[in-house]
Order: sequence, then structure tokens, then C-alpha cells
Amino acid sequence: MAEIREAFRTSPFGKAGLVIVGIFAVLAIIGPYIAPYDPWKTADQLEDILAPPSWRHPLGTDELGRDILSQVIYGTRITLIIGLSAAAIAVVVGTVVGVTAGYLGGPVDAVLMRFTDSFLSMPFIVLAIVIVSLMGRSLGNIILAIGLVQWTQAARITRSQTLSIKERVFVLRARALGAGPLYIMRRHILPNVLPLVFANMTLVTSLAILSEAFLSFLGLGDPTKFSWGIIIRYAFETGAVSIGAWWYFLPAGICIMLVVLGFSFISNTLDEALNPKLRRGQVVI
Amino acid sequence: MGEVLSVRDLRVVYRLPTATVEAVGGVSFSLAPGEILGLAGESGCGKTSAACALMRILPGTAEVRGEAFLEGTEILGLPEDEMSKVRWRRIAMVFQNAQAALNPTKTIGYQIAEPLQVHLGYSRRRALQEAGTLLERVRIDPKRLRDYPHQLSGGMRQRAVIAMALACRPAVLIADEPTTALDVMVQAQIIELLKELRDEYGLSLIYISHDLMLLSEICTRIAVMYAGLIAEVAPTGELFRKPLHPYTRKLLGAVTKLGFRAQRLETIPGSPPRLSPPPPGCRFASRCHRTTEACGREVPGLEPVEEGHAVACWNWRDDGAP
Amino acid sequence: MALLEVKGLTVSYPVAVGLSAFISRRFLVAVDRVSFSLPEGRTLALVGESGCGKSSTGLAVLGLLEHVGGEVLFRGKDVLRLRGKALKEFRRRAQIVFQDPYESLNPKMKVRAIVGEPLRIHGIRGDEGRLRRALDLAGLSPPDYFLEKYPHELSGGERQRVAIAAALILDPELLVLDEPVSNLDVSIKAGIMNLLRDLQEELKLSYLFITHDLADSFFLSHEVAVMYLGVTVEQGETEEVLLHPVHPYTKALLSVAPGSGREKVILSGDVPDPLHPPPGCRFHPRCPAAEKRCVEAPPGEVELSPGHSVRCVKAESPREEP
Repeated sequence: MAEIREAFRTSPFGKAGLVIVGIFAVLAIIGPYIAPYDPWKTADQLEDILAPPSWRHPLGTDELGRDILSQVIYGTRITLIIGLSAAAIAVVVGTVVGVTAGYLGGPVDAVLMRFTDSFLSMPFIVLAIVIVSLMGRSLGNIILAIGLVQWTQAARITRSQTLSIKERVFVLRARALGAGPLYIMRRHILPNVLPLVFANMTLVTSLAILSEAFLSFLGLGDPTKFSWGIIIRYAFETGAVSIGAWWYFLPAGICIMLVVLGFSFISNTLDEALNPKLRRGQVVI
Repeated sequence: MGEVLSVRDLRVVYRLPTATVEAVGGVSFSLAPGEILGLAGESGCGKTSAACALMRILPGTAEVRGEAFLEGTEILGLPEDEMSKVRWRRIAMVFQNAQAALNPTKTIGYQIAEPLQVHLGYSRRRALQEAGTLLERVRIDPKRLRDYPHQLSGGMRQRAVIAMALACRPAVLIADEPTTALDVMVQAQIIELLKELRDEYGLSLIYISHDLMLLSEICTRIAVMYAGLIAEVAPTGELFRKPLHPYTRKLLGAVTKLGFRAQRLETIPGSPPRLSPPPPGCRFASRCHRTTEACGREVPGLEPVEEGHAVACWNWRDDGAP
Repeated sequence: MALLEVKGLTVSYPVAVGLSAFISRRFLVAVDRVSFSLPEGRTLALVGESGCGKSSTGLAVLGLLEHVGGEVLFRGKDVLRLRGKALKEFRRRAQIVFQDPYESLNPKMKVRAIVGEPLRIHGIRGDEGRLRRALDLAGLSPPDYFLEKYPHELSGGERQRVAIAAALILDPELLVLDEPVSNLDVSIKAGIMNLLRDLQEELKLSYLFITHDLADSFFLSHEVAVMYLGVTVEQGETEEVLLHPVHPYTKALLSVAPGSGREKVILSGDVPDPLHPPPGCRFHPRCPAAEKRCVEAPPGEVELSPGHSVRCVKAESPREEP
């Protein structure tokens, strides 16, 4: 824990990541209270259709005259929910698979890891498209689809960490005491892989947010919710790019970029703190 | 002056972000030609810091004070470019972890030849030839010049490191626990080798170890360190026969011995004092069974008792052998 | 009847050599037909250099290794064939203390959880008193001070005492001590050695004491088995074996133990690769007294006097009995 605090204290990127993600997290929570309009409210006057930024609509409006700023603010919550929930699913599945494969080894390991490899070898976006088209375009299904394609990395990381921890003497000691595999995995392996899992989760969150944007862009998003990806999708459908309505797609795009960058910064800093090989400038007496 | 190395009031202070630690608190000793001086003490007593200070290889957070005359030249104050002419050429060091001292991607031959090319300006060919001779001297087949460190056993690696250290024929070799990670048989081989090299090259050795019994087998004189200071220094036989410092006595009583089954081993209650900053009086006072008022007040200096035997204790006279 | 009776114990490890790992598995024989017995309340020391198979023997006795042959009888029941409930019952009565207390304690667990873990695993309702008593036995007092600490907040000696407390909490009969003091400073080691001796007396424990240090085995053990390359070369009463050794390897090992006072017999080279052990007597390539017949067949075990046996052809030839 002290290492993590120290890493964030000394790394400007780590701090920037925390600030960016922090701002968006606050926005996600209080968004509906500060958004100037109901994002679904269509325009009453013609001049508010696809209007460029003005005092009334700081980020302009879409083809139905709905306020873009409000859409982006509402989208923050949806996007973060999708990102974090998908990452949570990915990390839980990945950790269970990785720790089980790593600790039990032998045939269990071989089967689980080939299964993981087969997931890795499939283009993940195709897989996600298949899942969403089969199960329907709801928010829950999108989260599930992204989670189910992103778990492989967590599985690989936790497996390799488990392999090294299970050789530690305290695991042998627990075995000598008569502890079974489940007990050892839960009490000895898991607490020691959790920090890494946590670091991985921040990275998977940013990947999940990107995936959601991509899926939505392809028309596989949940059309009833404003996520940033959905906003860009609508902008594309309307032809905002070709008619020069930059205010329609740019804000959501920038938000995606910032959040992904923020989570990546945090993930890198955590990695540095937890992976001794990446640490620099250690004082040795 | 018949001394190769003379150290006066050596101090090492680490300035860490959280604390200032006085690892070595004023140590003086000298080394005669051909002598093997043992530095004994438990972990954290400052023996390695003192050695690294003499080599001038401490990290930037360490502040070194005092004087050390190597063949008449003061080396602690030398500018780095002049020190680099002395380091490895006049004073060399081998470490406990031979694996870490060797570059895993370069052959043994390359690594022994390199200092010869750099420091003595040998041609590559001549350096390699000399490296072969050195390897043979430390009893490794010169064919293994082309081997990589991982292809050697632990004992061979340590011998290769010794060959590297001796490449430029230094006057003083510091051996910092060179055999601690090795088996006793290999340890015996290395010690035998070091003694031979001492005779042959006229080396003077400082041998650092936590193992008093081991030091008794190789050293002519032993200095026992405690919490950054020398507690007692004496010729080896004398130290074992007539230890005067309470710490030395306890330490000797704590060692298991072959052929003598003690009822109990001596233990030392408590733990060494924090050195940030060190306590005012004798640093052993908090764990000593015989303390007087002077012990808590002032640090005892090394007081000569007999020829070559000195002890830093206020009460050594009263604490006569039972 | 002996508490522990080991008969013809063999331990091998599969070795993967490149592609051959897919085709056929090769085995490295780490322990080759080792037999000994350990009576109640006594200590048997397994001594030898690294790679001699002493640690593998210790782990195999506890049923912690695969590819194990022979018999390990604990109170007459073969540990290697125990399953389920009977195995769990055995695990209650036999415990292990490892060499490195930095490694053997889970860094994420507090002392309370570490020492209480055996109770949890065996589904015993652990009351506070039992925890305290275990800490007290291991010399960690006051227990309250230690219960809420993490391993990294303790000194090396304290951690090893925590490991001992955890090993004692189930009231075991057998403790396997795998180099329990090798990483500790002399004065701390002495405390642990005293503790182990006191505990044996108080709780009538039996120890299988694995060590490379002959002097330590002399202090703690009643009997000694000397191992070389997976084979016991000599075993018997500690005084007998360590003061009147018969096997050339025991003699050499004793001679290089620091402070033994014997004339050094320094064996050259390293212990051979256990994947390709020499034919005949495994020690013959390094044996100062090797003869032709040593190469031909491995020597049988010869009982010199009750309890003192040795594996050497020299001893096989009948001796002059007075």
C-alpha cells in the first residue's frame, strides 16, 4: 500500500490519471443534477436543429435539437458503468480461471489455458458482435459481451502470478498443515494476486470503454441510453462529419480519449508500484 | 610506516528521506602487508558499509568522513577520476553474491580481460592470455574462458570473481562474505585459495564475515564490530583465549561448537540500538549485563590492553575472566 | 517402537530436457533408498551439503512430494499411503518449520491469522488462550504485542518464533526442522537453538533436524545421518559419528567445518551432477582413499557398532575385534 501511495506521489502521470478519472466520476454521479437540459427533449424551434455551440446550447444540438452537452454529461454515467462493470466481469472471470489453472496445474491448467488461447485467437470485436446480436442490444448484454471478451488478459496475468506464488514456502507450509486447494487459493494465493488484478482492472476498464464506443459505433449499442459511443453513432448516422457539425461528435470523442488516458495512467502507475522490475532509483544500503 | 592501509576515524552516514543513519561511527584500523584482518559482526553492524566506503562505491545518499591511507595516499578525499585509477588497481573487492558481480551476457574471459585492457592498457590478445593464466591460478580450466557465468558452479563463479579482482594485482583485497552462500567444502577451497594468493601476490586481505569460527581459520587479527564501532580487536588466538569485551564474550558463547556440547548457548537479550541517531554512551550498554554510570554517558574508546589487543569497554578490567 | 520409521525412501523429480519432455520423462533421483528411525522425544539430524537430498527427505517424510518410493511409517502407519481423514490426522501431528521465516509466512496475514491458521484448517474452535499459549511457548511474550503484527514488522528471530508457534499450536509429536536457523544472526540463532532444546524437553517432541552445519547438529541432535548425493553414507549416535567418523566423506566434511580443529581434508571440484551420478560408490571420484572396487559396485551398509553404520567398502572388510 505504501508503495502505491509513493508511486502516485512521485508520478505526474499517476496524479493526472487520478484527477481525470476523479472529475469524470464526480460528473457521473451528479450529472443529472447539473445537466442544463433533458437530453431527450427535442427542439421547439427550427433554428435549434443541429445548431452550433451558442450561449443557450454550449455544445450545440443534434438533428432533433437535443442538447449535446446534456447528452455528454448523461453519457458519462452510462459509459463509466459499462466500463467498470465489464471490467469487473472480465477480472472476476479471468482471476478465477487464472488462479485455478495456475494452482492446480497439469491437465486443468492445459485445458483452461487452451480455452483462454482460443478466446485470444478470435478477433474480440467479432466475438462481441456475435454475442450482442444473439442476445439483443441491451445495456446488460453489452456489458456481458465486453466482459466476456476481455477476461483473457486477466487470466494470463493471474495465472503467471499464481505460478510464482504457489512456489513460495508459505504455500508449502499451508499444504503441510493439511490445507486443501480451495483454502490455499482463497487464503494464500488470492490476497497476493489481488493488487495485480486491481491494476489490471483499471486497464481493462479503459479497454472496455473503447470497446463500447466501437460496438455502439457499429450500431450494436443500446439505443435507449446515451453513452458516448451512441452519441458518436448518431452523429455518424446524421452525417455530422460531412456537413461539418463537429460539435456533435467531437465532445464525446474527447471525453472517451480523456477517460481512457486517465485509466491508462493509473494502470501504468500501479504497475510500476507493484512490479519491482519497473521500479527505478532504489536506494540500496 | 609498514602499513598498506591505515584507516582513521572512518564514518559513514546515510542521509535518507526519512532519517539520518550513522552506519559507521568512527572506525580506525590498519593493515600490515600480507596480513588478513577479519571484520566480524552481525548484520547491520556496519562492516559492509565500511568496506564499501574504502572502495568509494557507496550510493550518493552516503556521506563518508575520516581518512584512509592506501600505500601512503589518502583515498577518501581523492577526486573520482583519480580514485578510478586506484580502485581495482590498488584496492579491490569481492562480494557475497558472485552471480550479481558477473555480467550474464558476457563470457568469463571477456570479463576478466576487460579490466586489464581498461586499467593497464593491455592489448585484447594479451589481456585474454593473462585472463587464462589468472583462471588457471584460481584453479579453473582456462578452456572455460569462453563459458558464460551460468555455466559455472557457485564455487567456480566466486573464483572467477576473485580472478577478476586480482587481475590488476591490487595491494589490498576486501572479501565481503565471499563464501556465505556456498557449501563448507567449497568455502574451504576458496579460503585455501585466498591464503595461497596472499602468499604469492603479497596481498593484504580484509575478510568480512559474521562467522567467528570461520574468521579464526583464516585471519591473523580480528576486529569485532557492533553498531558501527569496533568493540574489540585482537590477534586471532588472543581473541578466542581472552575475549575482553562483553559483546565478544557473548558472541563466542553463542556459537555452537563441534566436540563441545554446551548446556545452553549464550544469548544476548534485546536488539542492537537504532543508529538514527546512535545512543549517547556505549552502544552495547542496553544489552550489557555489566554496566556502570559511565557506560550510558560516554562512548568508550579503543583502549590498548596488550600488543595488538584493544577493547572499547569502560569496565573490561573489572570484568575479568571467571 | 520408534515414532518415525523410514525404510528405503526414494525421491525423484521429473526433469524436462527440451523436446524429450514430450516423449519420455527423465527422473533425477534426489534421495536413494534412505532408511532411519526416530524414537520419541529424540532428534535425528540429516546433515550434508546442498543438493545431498536432506531437504527432499524432510518434505517426503511429511508426504509433501510426488514420485516418492519406500515407506514412511509414523506410529506404524505408512504416511505415503494415507488419504483423506487419516492424512489430515497425520498433518495435525507432524509439523514443519522452514529455513527462511521471510518466505514461510504469508506477508498479507497478521501473526494472529498465521498462528491460528492450523486451528482453522483443522476446524478446531480456536480460543484466544490457545493462541497465547503457543506464542508463549515460542518465547513471544507478551503475546498481545505480537498478535496484531504483520511479519514485516518483526525481526528475523521473531518471525522464526512465529513459525514455531504456528507449528506448536496443534500439539504435534514430530517437527521437521528444515535449516531453521541458517538465515539468522549468531546471537538470535542461539536463542532459537535454546528454545528448540527446551521445547523438546517440555513437550517430548521428536525432531527431524535438517542442517548443513555440523556444529548445530552436534548441539541439538542425538543421532546424525550424513548424506552425500542422495545416499546416507554414515549414521549413528551424534558423538560417535561426529567425534569418531569412519566414512571418508564424513571425515572430510568435519575437517572443513570452521573451528573443528582437525587437519583439513579439502576435496577438490564440486559435487557431481545428480542427473549423472558416478557408478559404484557415489563418493569415489572425490574420495581420497578410493580404490578399484569402489567403482565397481555401491558399498553396502555396514554396522560397526550397535546403531553406527557406514556405507564404505573399507568398512566392509572385517575389522579386528578386540
